[in-house]
Amino acid sequence: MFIEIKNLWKSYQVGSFKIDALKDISMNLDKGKFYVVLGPSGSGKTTLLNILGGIDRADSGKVIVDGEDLSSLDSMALTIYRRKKLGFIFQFYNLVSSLTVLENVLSTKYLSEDGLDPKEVLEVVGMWEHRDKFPFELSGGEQQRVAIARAVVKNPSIILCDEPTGALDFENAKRVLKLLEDINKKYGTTIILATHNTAIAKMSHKIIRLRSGELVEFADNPSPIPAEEVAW
Amino acid sequence: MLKKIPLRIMWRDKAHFIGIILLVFLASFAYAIFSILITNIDTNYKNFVKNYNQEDFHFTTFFPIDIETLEKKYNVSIEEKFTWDYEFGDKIIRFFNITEKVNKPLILEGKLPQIGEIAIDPNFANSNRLEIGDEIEILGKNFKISGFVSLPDYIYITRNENDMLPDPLRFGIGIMNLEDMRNFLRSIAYRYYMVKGNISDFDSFKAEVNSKYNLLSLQEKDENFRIIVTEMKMESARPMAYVISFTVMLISSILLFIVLRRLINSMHAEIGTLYALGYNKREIVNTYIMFPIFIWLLGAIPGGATGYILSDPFTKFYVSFISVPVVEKFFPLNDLFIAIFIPALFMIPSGYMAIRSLLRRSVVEIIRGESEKGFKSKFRMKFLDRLPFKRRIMIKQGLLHPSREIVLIIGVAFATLIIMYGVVAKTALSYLVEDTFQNIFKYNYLYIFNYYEKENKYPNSEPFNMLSFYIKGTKAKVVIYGIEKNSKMIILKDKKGNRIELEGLVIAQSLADKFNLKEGDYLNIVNKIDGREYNIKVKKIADLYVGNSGYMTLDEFNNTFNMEKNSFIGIYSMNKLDIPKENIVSTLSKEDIIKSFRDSAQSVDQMLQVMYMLSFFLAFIIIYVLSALVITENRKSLGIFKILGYKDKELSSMFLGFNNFSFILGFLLGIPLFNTLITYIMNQALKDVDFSFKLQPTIRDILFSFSYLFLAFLLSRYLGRRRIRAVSPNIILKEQWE
Ligand SMILES: Nc1ncnc2c1ncn2[C@@H]1O[C@H](COP(=O)(O)OP(=O)(O)O)[C@@H](O)[C@H]1O
Ligand SMILES: [Mg+2]
Repeated sequence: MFIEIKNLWKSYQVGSFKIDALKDISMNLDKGKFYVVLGPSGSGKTTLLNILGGIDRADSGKVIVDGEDLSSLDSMALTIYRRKKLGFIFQFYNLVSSLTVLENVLSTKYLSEDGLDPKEVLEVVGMWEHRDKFPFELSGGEQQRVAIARAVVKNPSIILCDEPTGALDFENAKRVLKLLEDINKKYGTTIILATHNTAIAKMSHKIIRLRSGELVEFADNPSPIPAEEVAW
Repeated sequence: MLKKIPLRIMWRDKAHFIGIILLVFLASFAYAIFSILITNIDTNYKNFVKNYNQEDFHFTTFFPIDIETLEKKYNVSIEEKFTWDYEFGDKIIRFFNITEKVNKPLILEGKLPQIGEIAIDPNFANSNRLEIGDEIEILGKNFKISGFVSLPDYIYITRNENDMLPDPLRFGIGIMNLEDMRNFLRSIAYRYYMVKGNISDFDSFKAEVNSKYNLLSLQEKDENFRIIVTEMKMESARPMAYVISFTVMLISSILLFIVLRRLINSMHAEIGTLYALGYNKREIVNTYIMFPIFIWLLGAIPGGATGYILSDPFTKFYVSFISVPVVEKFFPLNDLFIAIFIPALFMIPSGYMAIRSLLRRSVVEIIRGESEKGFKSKFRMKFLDRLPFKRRIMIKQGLLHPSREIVLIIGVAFATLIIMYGVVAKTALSYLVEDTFQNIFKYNYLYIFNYYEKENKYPNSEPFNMLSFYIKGTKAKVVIYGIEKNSKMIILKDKKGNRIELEGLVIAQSLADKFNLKEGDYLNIVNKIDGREYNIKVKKIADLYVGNSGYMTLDEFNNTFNMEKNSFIGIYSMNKLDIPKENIVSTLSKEDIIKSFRDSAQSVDQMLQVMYMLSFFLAFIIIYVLSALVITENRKSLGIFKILGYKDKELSSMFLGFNNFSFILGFLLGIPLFNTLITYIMNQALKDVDFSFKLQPTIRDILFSFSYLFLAFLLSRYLGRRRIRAVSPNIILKEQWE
């Protein structure tokens, strides 16, 4: 099993309230698949991705990724884990503003021993000509493409995408989805994409549906549609 | 409502602001304590000199002079003074009679001595646990100590004219009435004439005295070590005090400018919103100008007040070192006022300049925000592309903010200057003791006779001759010695450590340094007694750093200065000799000298500690504030890098690594800066004084200073890394919640 989640609980203390962000989640994920975590705002998607990404910790339960039990890792080991296995894509791109496009890509290329060629990756996302620009000189869609290149260049086994299209218009959103689909196919990268947009779920191999922190659906999508055909 | 902003932000960004406040504190403190000290010493010294009629010069003659005639002719006051050394055990009290016209004694405590009473100097009294009212027996007669005294011509109380340091345990001065003194005056009695007043034709005065009464010696005030050392020390303390406080202020104001500009840039959106809400520019400027005002008030008032409070003990401590009788305490309010207000002159304009950029921008521009624009093409720095990623980011980070690196460089350079000053002074002192007195001056005792001798009848000793000159056109005194050709007592060596074959004139390196003399140059000197001029070629320069001195062989010396062959005035000896007291003018034991140097090294140690603290503090604060600034403004990037899997160590070297270069550059700049300052002090403040020290930093001094400041650097780096560790990726994650 590539990713194994068992009885995962996570809650947050806000003032005197305790919010259960994830309640007893259990599931197994396979390598190389495209997963969509679907759910309305506040359902626990980000929390799940953060725990998988080693940025946040579970309260109880097990999360084993590629043989590593995340709860047993200290913060240094988690850093190494992120650096070796993961790519991140966020809703607000989170490029480093003082670095150029190419440098942003190099910033993760630096972390991996067997990464991909930055030029090739930037060409795939169509940003090679813009490699010397700073993030503020780019549109949102362009920035997200750079973020994708940054995640892909180190050839991670998993890419976690948290609302990657949330801040983009329809056209740009589709282009981003297409890229993610291509990457999944071309490099066999496991992609876990969190979104509240049900239309996107149609392109996944498997849907993980959350509601108020509970796993309400974990089902194969018998006929994933290509990204080009996703519409909303 | 807006009023709350500055203090809140200062509290939030404590790391930046507390550092600047501490620097302002330091600047005000340093200014207050030094200027109050200087005012106290200066005023007391001037009052002392004036009210107690300090001499302008004194002289000795073979025959008694006619005081009244000379006074009338040259319109000066002249007074005769007798002196007599009372020796007991290894101690000496040099007694003078009480004078009334020139060099009047100042009673610091107690009363002027009546018949059967004496007054002594308080340092000797302290060191020997003598108190007012105690009785001491002097050659069978009991004397009561009536008080503590200070003499205007013996401010710096040294036994021999050229001793560099006082030795209050074994040498002190005292006064008694002439009637009492007469009982002790014998052939060794010493009488001289003290003169107050200006003589326009000094040469004819000397000539007249010489022809009528046979002038034996004459010493002007500004070549009198016992008077001039104090002024000299004051003069060299002054630039140090001002340089320290002004540089610290300058550094803190630049630091404030940087921090404030950064802050305002990061708050553009908020400021824009304030505009939108209807606040006008004036109100906004009035809000932000409170930053420098708060910093100033929080730093300068406590700093000035602390300096003011501590100035009293500090003055006491310093006075024991500089030996000025402080009779009256001054608490000059204007010094305090300046100490508190000067920082405002630095901080408020610097703060205003940081805010001014806001005023020039249109409201729309401000609202649009600024944080990310400004990465113009020049920041791409494509020339760095070939470097590995991490190093490239590190260099970019530095080049992006040259002003910060400049402050860091200046700050470190200045810290280097301060610490080197302390360390080098300390090394110089111990070099003198450990090296010069062990390896160059081999003799253990030195005796100077009353009259020239021709035959040396003491074993294990060597004769020498000496004469005092001044360098033509200056007041600098030079002593030239004639010693045996292959002397076993004085081993002169060149820079490489090879013994110098004595031939022609060999001068000390310290003399060469001071007057920029090279081998082959001519030294133009004037005999202090008879005014004869000599022009002597400098054959070699010896690696010797004590005093303005030169050496020749005894034969050549006597020949050059027209003295009888083989005559000599003193001997160097390995053993203590039993020479009748009435035959010698002075004795010197090397052990005593070394001991007094060691003692005084302790007071140097205290100064050194202050300098250690100051330089550490300065380097640490500047580096720390700037690192904290970098970390705060890059919080978001740091968060992203952390999520991507960067380790804290890597981030610290990427974001703070450039400081390594700036630190080293600052240190390297500090060395020539130090040399310049020392040259200045040596050449200006101590120009006319027979005083020299080897103040070139040795490799060890440099290494030590570096390691020490590096410690400050490491500490700030450690704290910086802790701040980096504390940055949580949550800054990024928060945005994802919505
Ligand atoms: N760091 C946090 N502190 C407090 N509450 C949080 C925190 N992170 C998430 N939550 C809460 O947990 C719940 C799940 O949030 P999240 O995982 O962000 O949902 P989603 O990404 O699906 O919108 C929400 O109610 C949210 O307010
Ligand atoms: Mg979310």
